[in-house]
Amino acid sequence: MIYEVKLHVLSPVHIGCDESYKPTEFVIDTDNSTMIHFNLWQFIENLTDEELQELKRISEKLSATALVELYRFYASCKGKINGRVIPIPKKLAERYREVKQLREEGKILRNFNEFDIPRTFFNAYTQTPLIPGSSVKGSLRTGYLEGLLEESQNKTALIENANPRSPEQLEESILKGKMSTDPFRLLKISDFEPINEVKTKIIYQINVNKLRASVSALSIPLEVIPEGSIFRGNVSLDSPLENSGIREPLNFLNLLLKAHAHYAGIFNGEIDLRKNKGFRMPNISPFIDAIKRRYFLIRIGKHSGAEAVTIKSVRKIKIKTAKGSRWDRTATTIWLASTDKGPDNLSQTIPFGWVMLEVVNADKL
Amino acid sequence: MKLKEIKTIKGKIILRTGLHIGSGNMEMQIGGTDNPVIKHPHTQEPYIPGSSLKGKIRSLLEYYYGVVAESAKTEDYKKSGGLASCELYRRANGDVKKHIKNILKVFGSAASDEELLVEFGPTRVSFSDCSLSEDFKKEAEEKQWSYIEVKSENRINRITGTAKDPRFIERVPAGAKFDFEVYFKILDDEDEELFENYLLTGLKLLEMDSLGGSGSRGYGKIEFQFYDKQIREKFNSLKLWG
Repeated sequence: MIYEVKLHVLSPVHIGCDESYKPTEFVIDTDNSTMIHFNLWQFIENLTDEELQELKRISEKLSATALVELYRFYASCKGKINGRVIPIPKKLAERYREVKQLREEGKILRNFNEFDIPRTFFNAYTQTPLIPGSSVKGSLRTGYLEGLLEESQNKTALIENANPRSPEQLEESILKGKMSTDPFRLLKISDFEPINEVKTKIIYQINVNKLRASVSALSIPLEVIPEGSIFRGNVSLDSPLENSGIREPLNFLNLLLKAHAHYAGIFNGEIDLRKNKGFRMPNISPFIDAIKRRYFLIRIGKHSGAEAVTIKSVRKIKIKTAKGSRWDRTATTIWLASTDKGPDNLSQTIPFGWVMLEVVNADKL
Repeated sequence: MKLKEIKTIKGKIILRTGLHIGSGNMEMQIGGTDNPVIKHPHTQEPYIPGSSLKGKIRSLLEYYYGVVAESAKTEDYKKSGGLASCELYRRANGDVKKHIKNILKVFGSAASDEELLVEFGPTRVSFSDCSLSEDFKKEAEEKQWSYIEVKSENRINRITGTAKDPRFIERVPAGAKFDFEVYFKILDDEDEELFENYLLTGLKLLEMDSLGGSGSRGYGKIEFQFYDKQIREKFNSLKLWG
């Protein structure tokens, strides 16, 4: 059976791809708080001989001051730069202006880290963001495993035998199969491409302690897919053959309901936390009428939180302490997306990764 | 049996999601990816081997026409992996027997039995390797696009929430275009039906499934674009179920 699926992004999503924006391929428009990401080779083609010589001179410099000179050079050629425009926080634009004035090598190196901005997963040709099928599949699998464990007649034994060093064993026991007999091998989830144009943006990722009153000590820029974006893809689920050895075949509706239950629990936990911390929560009201029939809540990507990627009954989260580390049932901090580097309060911040999965042909469920 | 015609399907394969057809790691390179895609040895450009297309289409047809299910009824399943074979053909009855015969005619039977060799005749279909199309290469050259992307993946420990088993997989990015050519021999009147019900149906099934590795994690979604209007219309109007 093939299901058409849409992903409605409810809060900023970042899917890591081990790539950052290279300092040679962007310029920041400090007046408009935007970053322009451009193709270096196309830019070079538009330079005059003098400008090209200047770029060559900068590129041959061996010290870190070349980075600042490059930024100044790009700023002087801003009119010749065409590329993808990405909104950035005002504070980051201000920092760029400050960094451009730096002269001392040590300071330059320290401050440049702030412009090492990780990219969200993208199509190398069109530069548009994508949501890989692997992210969605992993997310559904976690929720399903939790649901299945809760219903299992062997629940107590499974929990007692769960070994953090060998999580595969737990998954095999819950799903009653491994590799060739794992029911998820029959579930195929495509990569998801955007419907209409999706413009990514740069935000700060800030870490907030759930218990203490302080807001944050850490804020790092990150590229995200903004809330409101919609992606489409498809899911196919094959039926297992006789003698296939798959003992717990998947039913797509059951899978989605279990995943929804897992993530809805975490969502409700964040609603409770919001009462103390004051951050925003995604608006799920447009979907509520057909929730658990056509719409299912999931969470994907970076900063989904340790609870989202683990199974509740066996969860053991490593918490770093001043004296080393300890294991706990819940994380002590939450990462929030913020347009402000150091907000006085959290009213404009929002947790990462919330997505509403829509089955377009829900009548087939 | 007489060669009456060789039908040709020409067109493009457009990648809708990243494609990984692995080449195996022939040599260890420092900083290289663990899982390279197959590339032409001279040009180092990725291509789609005809064998990958043929194998996947055959496999999908075997599922579609119930050959795998038939095979799975006995221990043969474990031995043959559900492949349509002369052995299975001899044993089967009814509709599925017809489908096994037709699949063996289209894709080849490797029959050693002279009687069956005569009955099936030579393999009808021939898939060419698909190279990157010239217009795509031109566009990629102009825009300095790489033919390869590297996707990093890992596994999550669902007890501790930590990442493990990091891996780096080469893919040809979504949007790449390959030239596609298939030849189909018409040896008797019945072969006209094989062209539509097996080759075109197989191509349709492939479009709905995935090509290459890691299809269950989103890789390998493709779209066919046929140059011939008649084939295009026939392909678009094909209904596989219902």
